[in-house]
Amino acid sequence: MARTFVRLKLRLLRNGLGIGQAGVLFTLGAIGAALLAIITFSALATTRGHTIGPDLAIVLFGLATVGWTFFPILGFGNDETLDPQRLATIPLTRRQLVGGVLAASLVGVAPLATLIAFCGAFVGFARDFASTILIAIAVVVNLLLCVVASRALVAVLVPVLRSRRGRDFTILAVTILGLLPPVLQLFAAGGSNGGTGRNWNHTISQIARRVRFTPFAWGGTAIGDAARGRIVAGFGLVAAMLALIAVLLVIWSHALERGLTSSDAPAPATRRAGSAARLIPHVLWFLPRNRIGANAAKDLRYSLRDPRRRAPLIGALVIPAVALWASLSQNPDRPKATTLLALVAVLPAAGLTLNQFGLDGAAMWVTLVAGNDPRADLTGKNIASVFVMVPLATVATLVCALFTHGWSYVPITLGLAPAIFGVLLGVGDVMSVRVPYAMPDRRNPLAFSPGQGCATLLSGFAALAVEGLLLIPAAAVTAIALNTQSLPVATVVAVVFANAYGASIWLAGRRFAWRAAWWRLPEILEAVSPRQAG
Amino acid sequence: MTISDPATAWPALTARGLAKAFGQKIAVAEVNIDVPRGSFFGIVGPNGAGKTTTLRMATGLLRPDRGQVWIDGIDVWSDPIAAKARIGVLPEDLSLFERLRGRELLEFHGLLRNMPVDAINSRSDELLDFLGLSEAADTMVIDYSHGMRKKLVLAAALLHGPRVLFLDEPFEAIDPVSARAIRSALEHFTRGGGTIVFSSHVMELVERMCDHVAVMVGGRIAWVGPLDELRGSGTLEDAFVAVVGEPAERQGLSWLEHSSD
Repeated sequence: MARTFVRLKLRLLRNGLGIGQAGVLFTLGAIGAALLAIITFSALATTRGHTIGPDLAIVLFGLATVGWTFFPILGFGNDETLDPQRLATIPLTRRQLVGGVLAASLVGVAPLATLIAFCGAFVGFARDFASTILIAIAVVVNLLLCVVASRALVAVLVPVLRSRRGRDFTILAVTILGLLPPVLQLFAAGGSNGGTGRNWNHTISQIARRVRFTPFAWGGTAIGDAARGRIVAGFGLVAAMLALIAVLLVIWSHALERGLTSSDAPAPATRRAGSAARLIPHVLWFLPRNRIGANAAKDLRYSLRDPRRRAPLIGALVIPAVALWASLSQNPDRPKATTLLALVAVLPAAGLTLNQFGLDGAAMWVTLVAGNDPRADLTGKNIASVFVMVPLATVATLVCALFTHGWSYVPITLGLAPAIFGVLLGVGDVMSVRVPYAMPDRRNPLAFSPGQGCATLLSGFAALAVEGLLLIPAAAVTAIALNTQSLPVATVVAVVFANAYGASIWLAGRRFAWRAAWWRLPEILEAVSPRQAG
Repeated sequence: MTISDPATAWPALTARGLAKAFGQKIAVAEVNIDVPRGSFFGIVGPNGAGKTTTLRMATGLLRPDRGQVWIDGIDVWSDPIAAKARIGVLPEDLSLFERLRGRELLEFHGLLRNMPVDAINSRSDELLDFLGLSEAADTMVIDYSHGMRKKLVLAAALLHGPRVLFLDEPFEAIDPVSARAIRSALEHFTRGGGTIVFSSHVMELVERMCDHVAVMVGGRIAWVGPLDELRGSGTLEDAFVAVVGEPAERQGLSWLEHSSD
């Protein structure tokens, strides 16, 4: 049975290689895994004779095991041999099922890369026959622990991962994880003045001391023991890992069986107390009760409820804020006019306005079948976008003012914000109509949609460039006014001109967009529907 | 084709020379239909016959390569706003704004058609109640079952009081209780003079509900007319198979007849 599963896995791997975009992604993933494997292998191999070696083994083996355990949760569903429901109709005993899925999980790019990485321990730590044997067993058992832990956790969490809330949470978790590296980098760049090798070693020892006795680090600790000649202690840890694997296997097989027989989570009754749900809530009393208001209210609700929209928004909020914070905190003697830089923070959020119909996706038929009125649709969507951008600009402005003490520049900064919204929305409307595309229908918001990743990226950059060019006149008038007039006068002049300019760009863009869209609505619907575009 | 009062002289739906190809594949080759007012018109045909494509073209969701469609004499593709004001649609693909609650989605539909809020609210409550969705009215659509989604889309399609209702496989994957609720809503609709165009490959349903039938095969209308005329003295299924044509007697599978245990 195990052989059948392995053949199925190999077939799936081979088929995955052949398919255009998926094949490219697979290749990129394989290259990334190979790089990681080589780096880890070299790191382990080159510590031979260094005192830091055993601690490094603990950290690297621990990282690999933690990664194996928790990463598959974020990518649940990628591995078809992992989904027990696909096997539900095949008569298999629990033992066959566990054995088969385990064998299939040991085949693939990730297990191979992990094995290669772990093998660096032979070069780094093998001293004699006994230590070599210990390392060999520890490496194999640790790899087994990685695979079993990841499968067991996923199997246990299947009911949660299948529910909507579970999936929504996963999307947010992926976003936050994706944001961590740049944020940490920025903080590191802003905080420290460059680390030395000694600091690195110190950090690694510190981490190793804290995690040494957690199950994740048992394998690494056993390897360290092999290097230090503590063979018996090392085998003790290996035995502990084997016991842990046995426990995990029992948990896993029970969870697998439950996964085979239970269906997807039923719809929770989310009836709220009090008044019935209304599309336009009282807070938005000023929205017109017509097609414009309907679109605005719907998009605002989506900004709050749909993780696919929330996720990029979090990025749009966090990245500029951290970038501004990092650059401002490094140069405390910036002039007060730096407050104006806050407006840059709005740019990433504008990315969402470039494909406004694409955000609706196949559900756009709802608006299309209710009559052709792209002008009202775009106006409503633009209103919702402004609601998202206003708090963004306000917060960024206040943060900037806090750092530069440029409070006197807050009025002009906030006054110029609507002008920027105008330009961004004008360009966004045109792009939404001219270059609509289907958003990926997968749970990972960072995933590319099939067949259009590169073109989308290029058109996004082109839109950004156009937005930059269109902003030049407003920026120029503001600069001239600030340099030739007193601040209050300059504020009035710049704000009046820029807003008139921004408003006219928005009106022109929206007009062009809805006129172009009027006859193209069925084509836009086709372009933004994932199935047709796939 | 111009007629002084389109609302009375034209059939509810008229299609002439409707055609659509997706790349090399011809989905609809040439469709000509007249759907009489107040009729319950069934489009039947095997999978891939072009039923969905025809309905999508008739409702302004998919641009035909050739041909014209009129709703009550109004050209769908040259005066889409007036034409779409008269129709309600339940498509096969139930992509919806799933992050809205059921009631919110109905309000969205109503506001898109610029209906007054009071009318939207009272009709929504009635429709939700009639279709057995009151309990789920404040649940997000993403948590709806397939049958609940169908009923909600039907409610949305009826909300503005259309003249012609297009239903693509309305009873597919629907439990008997929901099917009965939908059927009863449709009966109310036709009693008020409304016209229903619906596609299905379930012959019993078409036989029970429709008074007119069009049989589609390979992107063409193979037969169109009153149900009784097509059926004659036999069943609709027999008549359908006679029109569509059945392949010569199938060979093989003899082992199924003496299965071992």
